[in-house]
Order: sequence, then C-alpha cells, then structure tokens
Amino acid sequence: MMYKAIFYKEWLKIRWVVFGSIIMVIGFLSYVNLNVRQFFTMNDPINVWIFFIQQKALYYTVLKYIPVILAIVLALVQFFPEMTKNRYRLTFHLPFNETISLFLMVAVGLLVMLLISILYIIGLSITGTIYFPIELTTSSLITVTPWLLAGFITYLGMSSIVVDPSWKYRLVYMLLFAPFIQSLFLEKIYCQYTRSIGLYLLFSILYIPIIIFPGYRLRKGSRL
Amino acid sequence: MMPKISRYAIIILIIISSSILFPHLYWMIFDKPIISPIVQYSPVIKDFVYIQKLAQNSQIYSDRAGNSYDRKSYEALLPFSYYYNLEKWGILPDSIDGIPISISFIRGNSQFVRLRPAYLHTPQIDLNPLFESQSEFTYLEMPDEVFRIKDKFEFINALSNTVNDSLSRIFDLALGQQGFQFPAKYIAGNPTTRKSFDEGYFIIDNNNSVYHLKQIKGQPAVVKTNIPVDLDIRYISVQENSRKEFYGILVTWSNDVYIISYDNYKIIKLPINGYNADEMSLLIFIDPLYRTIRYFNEEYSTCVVTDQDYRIIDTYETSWTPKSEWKSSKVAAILFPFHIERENPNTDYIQFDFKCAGWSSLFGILLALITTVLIKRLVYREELKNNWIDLIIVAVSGIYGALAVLLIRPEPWD
Repeated sequence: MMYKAIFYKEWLKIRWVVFGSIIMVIGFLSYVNLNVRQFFTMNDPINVWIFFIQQKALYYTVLKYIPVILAIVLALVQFFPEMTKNRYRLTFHLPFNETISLFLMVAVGLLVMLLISILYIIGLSITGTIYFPIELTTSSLITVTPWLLAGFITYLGMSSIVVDPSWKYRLVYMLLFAPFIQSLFLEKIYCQYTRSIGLYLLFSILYIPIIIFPGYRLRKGSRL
Repeated sequence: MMPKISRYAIIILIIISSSILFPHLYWMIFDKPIISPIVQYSPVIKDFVYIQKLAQNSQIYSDRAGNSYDRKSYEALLPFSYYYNLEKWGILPDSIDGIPISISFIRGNSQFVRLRPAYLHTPQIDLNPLFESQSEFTYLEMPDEVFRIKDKFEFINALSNTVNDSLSRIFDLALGQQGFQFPAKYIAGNPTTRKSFDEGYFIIDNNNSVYHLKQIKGQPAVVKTNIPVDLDIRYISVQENSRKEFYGILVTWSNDVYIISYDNYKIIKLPINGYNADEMSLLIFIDPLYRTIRYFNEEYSTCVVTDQDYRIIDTYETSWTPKSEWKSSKVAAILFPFHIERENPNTDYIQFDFKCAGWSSLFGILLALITTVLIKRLVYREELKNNWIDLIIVAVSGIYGALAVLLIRPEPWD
C-alpha cells in the first residue's frame, strides 16, 4: 500500500516532465532521422556510407547530451519540491523506513531514465536499419551506451545534490561527480568505449547508494 | 549502516573523480613537449645526421661525429629529402655514388611509410568498397556497394540497403574456389578513391591464410598468397605506391615487420630489433639508394639504414630524458599515488586505466595521513576510532582520500 502511495506521489510530481521528455526524445530522434535522410538525398548514398564507416563520423551526436539534460531536469523536478518548506521531513513521520522510501523515489526516476533510454535505442535502431547496414546500427548502439549510462548516474548524482541540506556539500558533489561523468563523453568516433565500458559500468554502481547519505543528513538536520 | 555505506560510496566516487581531475590540471600547467632529435642518413657523408631542437625556434644541425652545420649545409647533406631547396640553390648533385640524380628520378624512387600504434588500436567497421582496379578511366571511382565477409561474401548496395545477391555469389564462389575459409578474420586495404591505383584488399581467412582480392573488369581476382599461415599477423598496411616494390607492410603479434613484395608476395623481414608496435611509431624512408627505418617511443629512438635488399648498413640509437625523470613527474609521483588515464595517444580507445605512481607516493600518503589525523582531531574534534575506515582510505589513496574524508565528514551515526 505504502509503495503504491509513494509511486503515486512521485508520479504526480514528474508526470509533465515524463511527457515532456518523451516528446523531446522522439523529437530529437526524428531530427536525426530527417538529417540522415537529407544526407542521402543530397549525396551519393555510397559516399554517405563510406563517410560514416571510414571517417567514423557519428550521425547522432545531437543526441549526446539529451540523457544527461533530462536526468538533471528530472532530479530537480522530483526532489526540489521535497526540499522547499521541508516537505520531505514529513516522510520521516510515516511508518516506513526512510532508506527504503528514498530508494523507491530514486527507483521511479531510474525507471523514467530507462524508458527514455529504450526510446532512444528504438529510435536509433529504426534510423540505422532504414539507411545503413546492420554493422553501423550496432556500432551506433554501442557508441551511445556511455551517454545513456551518463544519464542514469547524472540522475543519481543530481538527486543527491538536491537532497543534501548544505550548500557546501552540494558544491563538493557537483565539482567531484562531474569528472567521472565527463569521462563518458570523450567519444569522437564510434565504439571508442568497447574496451573500457565494463569498468565504467562497474564504478557507476557506486552511484546507486549515494542518495542515502544526504537523506540521512537531512533527517538529522545536519549543518556541517 | 546504509548511510555509512552511502558515505563511502560518495567518498570513493570523489577519489575516482579527483584522480582524473587533479593530475589532469597539474599536467595542464607543467607539461612540455618531448624534444626528440630527428635522425636521417646522409648519402653524401655516409653517416647519420640529426636535427636537435633546443628550445622554441632554436635547433642544432649535427652529424654523429659531432660536426655542426648551418641549415643550408645540413640540407645539402640530404639531397634525397631537400632536393627542391638544393635545386633552387643550384647545388643539387648530378650524381651520387655514380647514379645520375634528378628531381624526377628522386621522386620516382622514393617512398615513405608510416605506422603508428593508434593504427593498431582503433575501432573499425569492416565494410569496404571494392574498386574496379583496371578501369578504362583514369581516376578510381566509388562503387555502389560495400562488401562484408562473414559466413559468406556479401555486397551491400547503398542505394537500396540490400544485399546484391547475383554479384555476391560470383565473388563468394571465386573465394571459395581458392579454398577461402569463411569468415574473414582481418581485412586490410585503402577504401579511398584518393590513391593513384588500386591493389584491392588483403584478407586473412579463418585458417590464417592470406588472400589478395581485387576486382578486374567487374570480375573477382583472388590470389591465395604464400604468406605463411603461422606468421600470426596483427596488422597489414596496404601502400599502393607507384614504385611497386611492395604491396604493403605487415606486423606480427611478435612485433616483426615484413614487407609484402610484388615478387609473388614474397615477404622480407625488416632488420629491426626492439620494435614494439603497441607503443612505437615506425617510419620507413625509401630513397634511390637506401632504406632508412626509424622507430621510436617517448624515450628512445633507433634508426637503421639498410641497402636496397634490407641488409643493415648502420644503426644509430638515441635516447633523451624520459618524462618520468622530469622534476615535475617526480613531484607528481609524490603528490598523486595514482591517476586514471582515459586517453592515450597510442590508442583511439577511451580507457579507464589505474596508473600507480610507485614507491615515492608513500611519502605523499604519509603526509596526507598526518594532515587528516591532525585536522580530524584538532579542527573537527572527531573521535578517530569511530570512523577508522576513513584513515584506511587515506592510506590507500593519499591526497584524494584526505580531501574526500575531510570534505564529506562523518555524521553522528545512529
């Protein structure tokens, strides 16, 4: 029952962002599709292929920062209302473990990020399959993996930043979560992360529990 | 318990990010270019000569014996490199070693091959265009298809994005008749029309045999070469040079380099010792008389000069102060016990490599540990034994850990 209530509360906060995100992702995916379509109308198809295979250019770079931007907006919309007028502190009066309730809230956001990622993958697959051989489609999905991963961990990092009660801590989180996330955007050509994505994924797991500490500080009213 | 775990997760993330950020900032301030000499072989004095850059805009020209030159007389020692300048000054020799010299002769008998470690470490989609190599027209033209060699040979048409079955079958059959074992393990060639002629592709099949595939008058031309199957080939660079001495060069996993000659694909091993394809660049200069092979990393360079049959005439090795010996590197090693390397000029792949600084970092760790204890006791007035893991973290990660545990302070735990 309590689970359902928390999910419903989260949904009320973020529904417009979810709709907006879906429209934005679909919009950008359509843009990529139209853009590629234009390449083929304006050039000899084989030259377009050779350009993306041999020059290793990416026809979907416009999508690069979409997951991260949506993650930041989502975390703000989901957690900022909790921080104003001390609303979140009401949760502490519920007969419910605070750690679990925080994890549930974050899980809702992660589900939204997952939905966005699935859309992203479907859209790229459609454009890839229409215009390119399977090898290019596969490479595009491998190439965007770090960008999608960055979306998930940015969401987790941003949530912690919003939830922490002190600006000093927020600043430290902001400065020192960033280099790892920035490391996922070094791509200039396709598939550059194939040898290291496993390690990036492994260390990304550390982002999952980080929201608990700021939440604990909030409950304790910590002002360190 | 969970809040504690969460804090340590944050601390580890901060350590990881710091070990990316701080060494990066440090080297933005202290990095300098590595100044290595450019070594060449002079056919005039029959010895190695080199240009050593000293600082910005100043360099010395010298030979192995220690004689120094001005720029003009240095270039006069290397007519095969600076022939345009020598011609302009009117001092291009008429003959060297009895061989008559002219600009067109030099140009027609010179070749330059370069191999960088990143060529071997780069993501690649194996879809290539097969050019018509005996066209009636002068310039190469891009075909309508690219080919792939998985469980069979397939041409994919770019206009329709479908497999061209009839054409594919012809080539699939031609490869099969030569005993090609699908799938291809490796395909090497130059998929560009910006070359003077086309030699097609060198393809390694599943049995490690090397095949040479070309398209001649619309038909497949497949040759099963006699390159040994046990060579353990790692990389082939097809050259397509009008000298037509060799198709290209190949590098094996044991760092041997061979040329694949036009003489029935006979391979000739280059006489180079200590070459490592993962970290060294290889340059081959071919002039009308000699072959100069230079291979180098960031610490030393070897220059081998051979005759036209690749027999060694002379060798010259140089080394310079490696970056690890720089004062700034030694300070960095004390300051940063490790750093995470994401990009490296020797590979196109993005990495996540922990690089440890060595024993000197223990000094920095000790300093970080003392600072942490002092601040925790005297400034924060914390009880050390409540959060002893903090100190272990600092003992492992030095300055990064100290920063993390001091910024993200432990709470009074439940």
